[in-house]
Amino acid sequence: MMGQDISIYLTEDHRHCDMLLAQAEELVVDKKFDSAVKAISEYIDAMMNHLNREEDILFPIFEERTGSTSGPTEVMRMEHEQIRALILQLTDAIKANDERKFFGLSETLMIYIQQHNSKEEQMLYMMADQHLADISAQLVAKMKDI
Amino acid sequence: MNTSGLSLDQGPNISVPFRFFFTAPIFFLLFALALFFITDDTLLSRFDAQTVGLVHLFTLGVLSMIMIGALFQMLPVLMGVTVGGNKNLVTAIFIIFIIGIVSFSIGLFLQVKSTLLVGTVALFIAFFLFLLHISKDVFLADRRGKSVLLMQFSIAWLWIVLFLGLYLSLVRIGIIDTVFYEQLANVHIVIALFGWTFALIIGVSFTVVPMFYVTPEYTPGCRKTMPYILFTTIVSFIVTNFFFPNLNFISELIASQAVVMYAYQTIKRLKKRRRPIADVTVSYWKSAIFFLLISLLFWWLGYIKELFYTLSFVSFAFGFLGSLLQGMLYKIIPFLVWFHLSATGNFNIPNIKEVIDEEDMWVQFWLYQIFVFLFLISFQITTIKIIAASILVISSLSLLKNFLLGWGVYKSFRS
Repeated sequence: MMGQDISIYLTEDHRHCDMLLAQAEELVVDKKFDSAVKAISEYIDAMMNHLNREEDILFPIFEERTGSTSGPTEVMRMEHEQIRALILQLTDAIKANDERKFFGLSETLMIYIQQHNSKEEQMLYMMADQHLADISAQLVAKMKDI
Repeated sequence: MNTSGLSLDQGPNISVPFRFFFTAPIFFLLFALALFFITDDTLLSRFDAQTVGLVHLFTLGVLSMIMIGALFQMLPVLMGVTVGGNKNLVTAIFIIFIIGIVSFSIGLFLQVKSTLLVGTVALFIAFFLFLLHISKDVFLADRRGKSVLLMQFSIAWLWIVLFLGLYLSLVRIGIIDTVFYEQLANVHIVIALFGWTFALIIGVSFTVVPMFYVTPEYTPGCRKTMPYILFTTIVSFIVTNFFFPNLNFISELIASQAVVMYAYQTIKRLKKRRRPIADVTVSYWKSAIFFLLISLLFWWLGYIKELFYTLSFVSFAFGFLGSLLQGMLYKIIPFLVWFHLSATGNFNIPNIKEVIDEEDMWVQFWLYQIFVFLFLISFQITTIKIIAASILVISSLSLLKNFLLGWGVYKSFRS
C-alpha cells in the first residue's frame, strides 16, 4: 500500500520471526532437540537479519531525516541489545538440552519481543512511513537484500 | 503526524504498578473474612448496606486496584501516555484509595454514617486525582493503537461511575434525597461493569492476547464494533431503565452480543496460539471465558428464577473478572521483574519462569477455581459458604505469597 511500505514489510518480518521461534518451541515440546537446534539457528538468522535491516538501513536514514539520534531509535537499539543477549542464552540452553531453561528464556524473549514489536509497529514504523514516504520503496528493496 | 506524547520509554518505576497489584490479594483476603460474618439472606439482597459494602470491597479493593495499577503500567506502552512519573501523586492516590475502600466498606458493613462519609470522600478524591492525572493525555492520544479507543471509552465512563457513585453514597448517608435511587444504582452498576471494567478488559485483551500468546489479531470487525456495541448497551439500558423497564431485554440482547463476540474471538485466538506451551495463565484465561459465558447463561435464566441474576453477577465478577485479572498478573509481574532487572544492564538474571514458582501458581489457580464454584453453589446450599470463604482465605494468602516471592527475587538481584 502506498505510503505504508516500510511498516507493512517490517511488520510481516516480525511475524515471520515469531513463527520461527514458535516452531522451535514446538520441536522442544516434542523433544526433537536436533531439529530444534536447526530451527533455532534458522530463527536466529531471521532475527539478526531483521535487527540489521533496522539498524543498518532504516534507523540511520530515519535519524538523518528527523534530526534525532537520541529518540526512539536509541531506545530500540538498546532493546535490540537485550534481544541479542537473550538469544545467546537461548542458544546455550538448547545446546545443553536444558528444556526448563529453554522455555523460561523463550517465554521471556517472546514477551519482550512482542512488547518491543508493539512499540515499533504502533509508533516507530508509522513515523518512518511518514518521514520516509518518498524513498520507502527503495528502502524496502535494500532491506530485502539483507 | 503528531508524535507529542508518544513514548518509547520503559514505563513507570516498578513500585508504581506493584503497590496496587500487591494490595489486591489483601482486599481479597478481607473480602473472604467478611464473608464469614454476612448472613445468607443479606447476601441475596443487592441493596442491603452490608452487601453493597462487601461488593465494593471486591470491585474496588481487588478489581479496580489491579486495573489502576495496570493502567499506570500500560498507558505508556499501549498509548504513549506518560503517567506515573510523579511518585508523590501516585503515593497520594494509592493511600487515599485504600483509606477510601476500607472506610467505605466498614461504614456500610457496620452502618456507621460518619465512616461511610469519610470513605465516600476519600474514594472520590482518589479516583478524581487519578482521572485528572491521566484523562487529558488519554483522550488526546493517537487512536491507531489496537486498545486505544476502548481504553478512552473506559476512562470516560469511569468519570460517570465516579459521580454516580458519589451521588448514591450521599443519598445513602442521608445528605441528599432521590426517588430514583434504584434506577441510578442500576445505571451505576451497568456502567461500572460494562463501561469501565469490561471495556478496559476487552481493550487490553486486543493487545495482550496476541502479544503474550502469539495469536492472530482480533478481527478488525470486532475491534471496531466493540466500543459501539458497549456504548449502545449502556445508553439503551439507561433509557429503558428509566422510561421503559419492560424493555430492558433490548440492552441485555446487545450486551449478550458483546459477550459472545469477545468470548468467541478470545477462545478462538487461544486455540490458534502459535506457542504450544500451556501455562497457568492460559488456564486462567480459559476459565475466565468459561465463567463469562456462564454468567450470560445465568442472566437469561434470571427471567425464570431471580436467584440466577445473583449467580450471573458472581460468575461475571469473580469467575470472569477475578480469574482474568489474576491470570494477567501472573504474566505481568514476572515480566516486570525481569524487565526492570534487565534494564540495569545485568543479563545474568532469572528469566520470567524463574520469578514465581509454576507449581505454586497452579495450586493457587485451583484454589481460586474451587472457591468460585463453591461460592456459586453456596447461594443454594448455604452451609457451603463458610467452606468457600475458607478456601478464598487460603487462595488470597497463596496469591499474596506468590507475588511477594516474585518481589523477593527482584530485591535479591537488585541488592
